[in-house]
Amino acid sequence: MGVKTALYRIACFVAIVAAAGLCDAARAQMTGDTIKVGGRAASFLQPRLAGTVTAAIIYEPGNEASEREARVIERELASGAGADSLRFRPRRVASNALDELDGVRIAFVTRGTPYRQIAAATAPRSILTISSDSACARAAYCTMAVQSSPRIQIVVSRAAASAARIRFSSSFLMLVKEI
Amino acid sequence: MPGARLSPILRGSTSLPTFLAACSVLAAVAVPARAQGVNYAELEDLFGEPVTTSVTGKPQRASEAPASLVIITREDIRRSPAHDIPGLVQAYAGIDVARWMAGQADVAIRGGVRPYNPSLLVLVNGRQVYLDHYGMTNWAGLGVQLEEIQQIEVVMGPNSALFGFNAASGVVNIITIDPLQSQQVTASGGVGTEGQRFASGVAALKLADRLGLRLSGGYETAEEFGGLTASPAAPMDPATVFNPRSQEASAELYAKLGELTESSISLTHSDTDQTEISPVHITIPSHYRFTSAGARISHDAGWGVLSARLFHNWSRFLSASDPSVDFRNEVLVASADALIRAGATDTVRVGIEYRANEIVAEPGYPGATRYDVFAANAMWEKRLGDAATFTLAGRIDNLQLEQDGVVDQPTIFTKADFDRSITDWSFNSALLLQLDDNSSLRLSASRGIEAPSLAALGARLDIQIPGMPFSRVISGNPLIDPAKIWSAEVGLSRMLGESGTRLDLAAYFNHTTDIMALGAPQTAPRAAPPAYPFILSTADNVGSSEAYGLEASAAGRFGGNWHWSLNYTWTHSDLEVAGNSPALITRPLASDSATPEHNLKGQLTYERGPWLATVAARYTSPTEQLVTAPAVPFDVLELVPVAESLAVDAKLAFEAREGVTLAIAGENLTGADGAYLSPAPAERRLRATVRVDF
Repeated sequence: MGVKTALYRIACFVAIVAAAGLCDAARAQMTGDTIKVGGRAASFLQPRLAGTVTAAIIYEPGNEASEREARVIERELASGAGADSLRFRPRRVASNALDELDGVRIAFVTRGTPYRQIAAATAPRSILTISSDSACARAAYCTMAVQSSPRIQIVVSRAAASAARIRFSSSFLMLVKEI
Repeated sequence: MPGARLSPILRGSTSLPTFLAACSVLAAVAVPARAQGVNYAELEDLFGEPVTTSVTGKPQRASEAPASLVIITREDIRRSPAHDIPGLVQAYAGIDVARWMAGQADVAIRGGVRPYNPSLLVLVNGRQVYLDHYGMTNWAGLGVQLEEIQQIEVVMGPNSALFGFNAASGVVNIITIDPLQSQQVTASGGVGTEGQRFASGVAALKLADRLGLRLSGGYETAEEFGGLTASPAAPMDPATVFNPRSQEASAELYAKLGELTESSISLTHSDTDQTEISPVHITIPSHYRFTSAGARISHDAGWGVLSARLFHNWSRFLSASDPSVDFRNEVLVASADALIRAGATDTVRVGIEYRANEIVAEPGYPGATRYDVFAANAMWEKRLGDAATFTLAGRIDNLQLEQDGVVDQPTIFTKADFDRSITDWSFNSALLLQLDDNSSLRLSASRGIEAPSLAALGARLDIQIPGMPFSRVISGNPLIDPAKIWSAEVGLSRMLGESGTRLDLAAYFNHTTDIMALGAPQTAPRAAPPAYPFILSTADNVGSSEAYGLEASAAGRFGGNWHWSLNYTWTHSDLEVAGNSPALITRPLASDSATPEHNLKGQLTYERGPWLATVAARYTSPTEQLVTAPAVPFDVLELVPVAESLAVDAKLAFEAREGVTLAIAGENLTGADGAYLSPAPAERRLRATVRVDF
């Protein structure tokens, strides 16, 4: 086979590759859910968290969606979401009772809660805040935003982490999106 | 004095105890603060896909790595019918495995099938197990058992910018489990047809909160291929056919020195016997002894990771039939890297490496052929918004060669020829475009370097010819240059639907210059009577090659119980070697005809309860392989056909009780002669295994 023929074949292949990349085929739904991802991500804090730690679930009283999300998170945490070496003791905390965050290391922040007030309460306590709402992390109110579908994505807010004096392992940070 | 620049460790021919003491010092002087290495198992759990550091030195998700990459996980290994690492990697696109003999395998990436493949760098936890004397990998003596492997990372294409010389066609990095993260005690053993007997044991123990130990050992033997002596690959003397046998032991002690500092000290030894095809395509009985000691440490500085590594390999190659053959090779490598998070979108890595390498060869020149390599490397990764990532890495190597003994006759070289410096550079660059949440397009270019082996630089074989007043001399060449490999590639990765099906497509073009070939009895002499009282042929840079290829892979699962994979590879090589023609082959190179043009591979696994069944099939198109045929006055190199093949491997496993698994497996159940690309016909082999996890 001559060089021209080979190059022609490769050119055709590249065209197919490009076409395949642009076509909008059915999208994948990644396995795992947001809570499990958040729970596992918490094991990359430095100093490393291990054992059983208290995890707050911050919800907005009267907001049905927020309360429903809180119930789902509570159920998942109680059923063992987290890494092998890290387990959570869930504690529901209303957004109007943030003083109850004392002793908490991690807080799952439901949608519909007042992110700014939550950040003001969690940062001084060095609480890792995790949300499924990337806007919370982009606004530097939440330390981390997680997404599990269509593929697992983790966003870490440098400003929020710095404000809360939270550190992650460098290897972990090189695998996530820092903003 | 040239020798003054050489490693005092090698010049003193360091003993193993001395080197281990040095490793302990390295671990002890570690910064007593904070560091963390890569926790492969936890990161795979977190991201739902394996993580690698073998592409750029930075931790990356497999789907975001800027290179064609295969990562074989523990689950893949558990499902596979393969019983060794070459058997595992041969299931993937772009990878050819030649089992020349029952104990000798070679792995080739994107072409270049040949015995003693020098282009593929093989590592265990980043520590080189590639042997520098001939530039090859003895896959039977890596010192790793399948049960202790966390994952096998195969990087396709040159990666010299990270790993330096010899990562020319690709890299295989075998990652073992970390006993601080995963504990296990496993014993397995079994028997099979053709005299197969094997046993292995692995213990990964957490001795204390910050102290772990991994121990492993293995033994394996079998009969040589039954059809060898009647095949074109038969040795000149049938009495020199030895059954393969390997025994290996390995230990690694892991210690966390503070919250963020991790270190380990490792020791590996292997001893193998095998009949094998040499790089000049003569079938020989070989005995390898390999010992490796190493230490590594990493420290998380908050802004990045600092790491250092030191290892020393002692390898010995002996002939099982000729006690006068004894090649002793030592290599010492010390390296340090800083991986820096430079802001939210940039990552930078800078590193330095020192390598001292020597061979003392009998037969050969008196004294040692040595070289030192001083290298510096850097990598920059830039994230361009959410849709693109650009990576650029470069490395420069300076090699200083020396022959510290006497460059005596017969030769055409002088001691001054050995007093030589080689400086060369390599790079890897890639642009990764995220087309959507499920698709990425990769464009990459690279330049890799393949260094001359120590044998190609300084070995010498003086063959007395009965009835003739002069001898035939085959020697290395201190003036030989490294080969350079230019590569360009486009690749697409895409997740399809909700089934987790992954599609990978890649097209590449490789151009290699200054291809190196050893001298062979058939090689045109560079010196001959009457000017010289001998006929001498040398290793030389002999030509160039081009290779094109396409790779398409898909893998996924369905129904909860089924896993499947399917891939196709098209490879085309053009090789131009001075002195080789269809009518006459004088240089032992024929990787163009030796590499199959078409490969189609598939695997299907069904799991239910305690049962696991896997069937794997491989179609390989016909090839031609080099052999040495008897002739007068000198043997001749010739190509012999190896037929196309459809090989089927299978495995049936049953977990009889918790932790006790019984399995039967078979390779080449179809009995296809050409299944292993060897001129010796492949056999059907069956085996039964018991594995106990305590």
